[in-house]
Amino acid sequence: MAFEDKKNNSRVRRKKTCWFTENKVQYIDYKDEKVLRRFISERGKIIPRRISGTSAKYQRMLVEAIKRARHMAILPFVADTLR
Amino acid sequence: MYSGALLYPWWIWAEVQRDFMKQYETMVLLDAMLSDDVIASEVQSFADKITAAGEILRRDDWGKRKLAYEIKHKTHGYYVIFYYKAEASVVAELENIFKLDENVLRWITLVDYPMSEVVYDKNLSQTEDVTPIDAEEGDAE
Repeated sequence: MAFEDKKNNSRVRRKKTCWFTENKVQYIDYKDEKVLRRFISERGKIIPRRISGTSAKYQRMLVEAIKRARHMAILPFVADTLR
Repeated sequence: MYSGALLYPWWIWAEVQRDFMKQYETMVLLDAMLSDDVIASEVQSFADKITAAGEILRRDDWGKRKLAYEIKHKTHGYYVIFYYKAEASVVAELENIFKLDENVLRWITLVDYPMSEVVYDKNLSQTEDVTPIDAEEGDAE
């Protein structure tokens, strides 16, 4: 019984799309903080592509860009929001 | 540089060499606690080093900016970006200078990286309301 209820209540998942593919991005710039901020969590972690929906090709570029930005102190390694 | 120097007359050789030059992008992060004159002279000295054996295509000054984390107990930094064409020896020389210079906190040099149109947004580092792409799921561990 409980099993069937759960089945009926399962919410409809919309398809995740890659932000970079939609915008036809040529390359991901490590200086572009505005874009990179979308793909890190509040803690400063890189959001996995199973959650963000980024395509494999762009995730590889994104990871490199974020790590470069972290080196130049544009993005944090660890964001201490809880203090 | 190349053994091809013997194959070309000198006036053509100069052009051949220029074609072999790669495009570089160097971002330098200086200590922002220094006075403006010191920063300007430091940046100028880097620019002079590049123009000695190459040419600067573009130079971006982001200016003073808050760092994402402390480096050597400094909270603010001065960002400069050079886009230039030069010989490889210039890059090695620059990196050596950066290593010895105590005012340089960080630097990064990239080869054949496309010149970006990114303009530094002064308001961005202060505002923290840039939402992640999928906030409702957060950190899935």
